[in-house]
This record gives sequence, structure tokens and C-alpha cells, in this order.
Amino acid sequence: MSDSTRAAGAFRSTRWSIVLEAGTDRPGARAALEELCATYWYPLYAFARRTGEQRANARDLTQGFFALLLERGDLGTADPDRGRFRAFLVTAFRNYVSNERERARAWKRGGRTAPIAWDPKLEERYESSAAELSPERLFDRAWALELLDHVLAVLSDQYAASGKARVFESLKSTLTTEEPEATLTERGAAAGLSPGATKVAAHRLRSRYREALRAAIADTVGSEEQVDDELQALFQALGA
Amino acid sequence: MNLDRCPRCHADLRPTERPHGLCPKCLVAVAMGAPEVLRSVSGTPAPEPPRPEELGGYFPKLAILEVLGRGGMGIVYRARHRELDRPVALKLLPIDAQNDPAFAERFQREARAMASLDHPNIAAVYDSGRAGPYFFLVLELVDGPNLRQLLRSRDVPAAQALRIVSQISAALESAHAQGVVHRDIKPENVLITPEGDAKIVDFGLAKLLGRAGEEAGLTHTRQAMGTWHYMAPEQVEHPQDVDHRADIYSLGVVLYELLTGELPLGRFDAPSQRVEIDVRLDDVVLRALEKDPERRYQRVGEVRDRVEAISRTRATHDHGADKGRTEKARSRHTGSSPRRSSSARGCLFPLLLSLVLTAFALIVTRQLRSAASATGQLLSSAHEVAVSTPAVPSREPMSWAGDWKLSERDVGLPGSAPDVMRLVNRYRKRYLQAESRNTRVLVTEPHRLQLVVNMFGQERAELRAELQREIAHLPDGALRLSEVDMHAVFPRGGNFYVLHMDLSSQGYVAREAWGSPEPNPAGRPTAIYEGKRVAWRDPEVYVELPVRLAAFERFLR
Repeated sequence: MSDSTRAAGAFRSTRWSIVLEAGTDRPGARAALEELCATYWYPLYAFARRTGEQRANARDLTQGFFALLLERGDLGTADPDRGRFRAFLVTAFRNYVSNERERARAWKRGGRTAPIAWDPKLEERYESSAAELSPERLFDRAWALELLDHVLAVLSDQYAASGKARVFESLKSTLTTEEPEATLTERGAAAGLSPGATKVAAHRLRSRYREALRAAIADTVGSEEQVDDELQALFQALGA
Repeated sequence: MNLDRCPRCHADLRPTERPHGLCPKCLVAVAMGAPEVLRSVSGTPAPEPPRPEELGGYFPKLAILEVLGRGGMGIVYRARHRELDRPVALKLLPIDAQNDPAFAERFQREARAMASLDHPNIAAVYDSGRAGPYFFLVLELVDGPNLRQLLRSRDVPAAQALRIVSQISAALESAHAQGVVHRDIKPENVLITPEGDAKIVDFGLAKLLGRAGEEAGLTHTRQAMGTWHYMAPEQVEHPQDVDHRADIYSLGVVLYELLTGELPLGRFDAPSQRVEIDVRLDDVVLRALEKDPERRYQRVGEVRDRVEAISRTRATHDHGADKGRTEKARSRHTGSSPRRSSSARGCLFPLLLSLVLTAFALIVTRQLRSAASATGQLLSSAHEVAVSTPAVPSREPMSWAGDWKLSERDVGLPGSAPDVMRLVNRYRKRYLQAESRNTRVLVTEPHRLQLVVNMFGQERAELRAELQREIAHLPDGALRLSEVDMHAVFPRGGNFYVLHMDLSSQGYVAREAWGSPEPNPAGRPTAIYEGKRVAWRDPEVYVELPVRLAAFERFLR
């Protein structure tokens, strides 16, 4: 991203900043919060499991927490200047778990619809997570992975929508790997691209990916200026 | 479980942790600005660092595991020393050894000086030399973030900042005594161990690489990394004439940044004008940052003395270190019986007031912390309680709103909270009705309250005056308020619970500790904090409340 676009972006409203500014009364803000919650469901579930909650309990706590969050827009402890959605979520959830167990039970008793569909695979995923990580680190790591997954899924959809699904599939590995030219040409050929076009396409994919990732991160922090810090934090979370 | 490895960063890849089959770490890395990647003069990124398996042949004693980081001072790998059977860090310097024969001699000299440094706050140099095309150092592996990363990830509370600065000073003092100047003190060069201790790395490397860099045409490297914000003026103007006082300047910059989150650039404010901190720290920072080295502190030990003195008196009886020790001290003294006083009844109302005020301060503190710190530390951890300082400019109103339910965690009385909480919950309303400041507590439902505080400097002064009036008539030894601090003590069983509120410079800072009242030979009350006997030297801040909680309860009924 060039400096000029970054400077312009500094004034862009991010999803999280919309939520923080408007609360959840405004329909747009509520939708933004819902979308954010759906993306980051698993990290909280993993956090709850790692703090010792049984499966069903962890599930109910997570659902109950999101139900409450979406219902009440309970953002009292969020600090708009500094807040990051990631930090807010885990702090609020921790408070919720320790203080609000009865609410989770009430949610169940009330027979309300679960805010986010439960996927049994998530427990499998939890089982395979690194056992040595603390709840907080597991949360951050899971968060980073969800974010990346989300960004790649969006990108993949965008490519598919413009009839370039094969380009994305063939070239996505070039996002993380510097490949020898021959391999790259081969990959391009698989998507029906000439060697020259392959290079351009790989470059474009990388820029679009970077932009998409930064935009997704920006949606979880208060301002564009925090994106680099958050990137750094995510990198740490995925480290060693 | 079968794990694949990323061909690029060599991280283990779990099947469930590969977004679209890709390495997540590299996916993040490609979007990072990568400001610390070593750049050559032309501005193109340096080539990829050698992979661990490419290096094995040069370092037979090491099992090289992964790249830990790279920066202007080289590339660092995590490794295991096969003979010593311990984890180490291998640092390869960004110098092509074959092209720079004169460097070898200087390197040997500097490396020897680095290896001679033996201090708990300096990362040890185990080995150094040349292997193939590489100049290398084998270093103590510090498993933790550097201070920059710590600063990015969360607020560093003032007490922790002072502790870190004190440790850096101690390390520098030891190095300076051996004639070694660091020349590049900055947050990136201070690693923080899991125990929270500071370890300085890269002693003298700046000098070594600075000169080598100049010769190799790499003069922009350091500037590109932004190091020069931490450099003393003379270091920029006359790099050859730098002595240990340059480190003192850099330390001053680090301290300023730790306290305020900003760099002291141009005409900068004193730290206390930026954030609410002990004003005495202004002097320390400003003197360390004097442009003329003659006017600076002349020894880094002076900085340490000042910082430690301020840390000590921030809380005479500071709780301090870790909760484990506090708990131990507490359990050691559970056998002693509480003292009683016939004057107990007389001081009950003020005591109640102070109790509720204290709880109030705790609530505020808690809220401050939850706003200031993403990680949601608990008040029940004495270590954390010690240190919450809001980064709120003093001229701005402080304002928080939110919902709480008072829980054991809120009042920070592990295991014995319900009694105190019951009292607080029962009487908070009364307190708040009596409250004159712009503070509201709304009871939204049973056991939940909403607190709205708007407080300015003037109002804080009023609160202090109010508190002083309230407790002026207390009998000696019950509760005293000094000019700046309030201490309240709650007897709990055979122990007492102490809160320290600093009302002047810090806003509300509640500190806690457990101890047991014991008269010392001079008849002066003392307390045990963290297993150490502490006497209040200043009678103004002495507190003891010889009242049992049961007496409270009776009064309240």
C-alpha cells in the first residue's frame, strides 16, 4: 500500500470503529458486530476449552456470550481510542465466564436460537491444537488463523466471481513461497496463463491479498494506524 | 501427529492450522511492512537468511532450529548447544567476512569484551568467532519479547517500567565499570524474560557494525531502523567521542517512552505533563536527556538510585513482587491474633467510609485497567495491582462508564472477599449519596452497578481535602492521610489488608498487600510485607486499624 492510500485510509471507518462509535443501536453497526462475531467464534471456543471448560459448557458459554453481546451491545468496557476487537473480546469473555454463568444457563433455558451455528468439527479442531499453549495464546493464535482463513475465503470468492477461480487456486501458494520461475510458469500454465501473464497475476494476487488482509485487520481495530501493530501481534501469536 | 514444515520459515504446520493449505506465519509476514529487514544501500531487501539446514555444516556443536528474528545487527536463530545441552541463540552478523579482513580483529576484540560482561540483566555471550563466511555470536537464549514488542502488545504499568529501567541501569553500570559502552540502548535491544526481567543484548555491536557498516557503505542501515531517536546528540555529531554518558541519554529516551508511550522529540513535555505519574520522575528523565553530557547524570548508577528511591516511596510498603510471596507471608502469619482497641467504635464510621472509598477506588482502578489493558489482569494479583496507571492527560476529565458486579476479583481479596464485598455492596449507596463530586453509581439490578466518574484535577484535590477532613479526628494509629497518599488497612483474621491510594499524581492507584501487625522493639508499628519487615518511617503514612471485621459487622447491623 502506498503512503498516500494509507494516509487516506486513516480516516476510513472500520467495522470495529463503527460499532464502537454507534453502539449496536444502528442497524449497520449491529450487522458489523454480527459479522465480526461470526468470524471469531472459534477462538473464543478454544479459549474456553483451554481454560478447562467441557465441550458442552464451552459451547454454551460462547453462544451465551455472543447472544448477550449481540442482544445488548454490551460494549461498556471498550475504549474507542485504543480498543481492538481481539482484546475486547477476550477480556469481555473472561469477565462473562467468571461472572455470568447463570446467563449462559438462562440462554439455554430460554430456548433461543443460537447466534452462530455450531459446527461439531470445531471440537476436532480444538483437539488438534497445540496443547502447550495458554488459553490466551491459543485464543490469539486461533484468532490469527480465523482471520487468515476469512481473508483467503473472501479473496477466493472474489476471484471465482470474476471467473478466475483457477488463477487463485493455481497461484495462491506463491503468496507465501518464492518459487523458481519454472514452477511458477507451470502453475500459470495450469490456469491457462502465459509466463508473462503469470508473473503479473502472481504480483496482483499478492497485492490484493495484502490489501484484503490489512482491511480485515482494520475492521478489528479502532483505526488504520493500528494495523501494523496488530499485524505484528498476529505474527507473534503465530510464532514458535 | 504428522507435521509438515513450511519451506520458507520452517515452522511446523498443523493440518488444521493451514488456511488454504498455506503457512499462516508467512501469510502474515508478507503483509507486514517488515521495517526491520536489513536493507542495503539501494533499498532492496537483503537476501533471504540462510536456512537452518544450510548452516549446520558451519556450526557442528549447534542444532540450529529456526530463525528467531532479523534486524540491522544480524540474523538470530534458535539453536540447541549439543554439548551443553541447552537452548542458545546464534547470531550471524550482517558482514561478509571474506570481504573485510580488518573486521576480524575488531570483532575478536569486541566479542571478548562482550563475553566478559557477567550480569543477570545482560544476555550472556557464550562463544564467538568466525565460521565460513559468517561472524557469529552464541548467546544466552532469552525466551520472551523485546521491550518494543511488549510496549506494542500492552501498556507497561509505571511500576514495571521503573523496574525495567532500574534493571537496565544495573546492567549498564556493570558494563560501564568494565569500560564497555552499549551505544545502542533502545527497546528492541532489551528482551523481557517470562519472569519479567530485562536482559540487554547487542552490547557494543553498534560500534563494531557502525564502523564496519561505514566501510561497507551501509551507513543508512541504522538510520533506516530508527535507532537514532535513542542516540545522544554527541553520538550523532561526533560518533568517535562517545562515552558511557551516551547510554545514559538513550536510557532517558527509553524511560520517557515507557512512561508516556512517546518519544521525546523536539521541544517535548515533561512526562508528568503527558501522563499522570510521579512528578519526581520528570527530574530523572530531563536530567538523563540533557543535551550536554556534562549536565547529564555522570554515572548510570545515579539514575538507578533515583528510580529505585522513587519506586520505593511510591508505596512505602509496596506489595511489590509476586503474589506467591505475598501469599506465603500471609499464611505464615495467620496464627497471630488481631489486636483490639477500645477506640474501635469511635473510628468506625470513617473507617467504613474509607472502606467504601477504597472499594470505590478499586472499582475505578479495575475499570481503568480494563480500559487500559487488554489482557484483563485481575486485581487479586498483587503484582498487577501495584501498577495500574492510567495514561490520561491531567487536564482532561477522566471518565469511565460500565457495568460491574462486585466479585472477589474486584476487591482483590482472594478467598476472604465475601465479607468485605457484602459490606461494600450494602453501603455503597450511602457513600455515594454523601459523595459531592461528579460521581454517580446507578444500581441497575441487584449486585450490578454502573459507575460514571468525571473527575478533574481540581476535583481530585477536593477529594483529598474531603478525605483529610473526614479522618482528621481519628485516634493516632488508626488511619492517616499524608499529603499525597492514603493508606487503609483492613484486618482480616490475623492479618491485615492494606490499600494504598495515591491521590495526587496518580489519580487512583490502589495497591494491596498482606501483612501482620507486630510491634517492633522501638514500639513502632511494623508490618510484614512479602516476608520482609517494614516499618513506617514517616508517621504521616502510618496506618493501622486495630479493629476486627466482626466489630464492623456489629456496627453495621
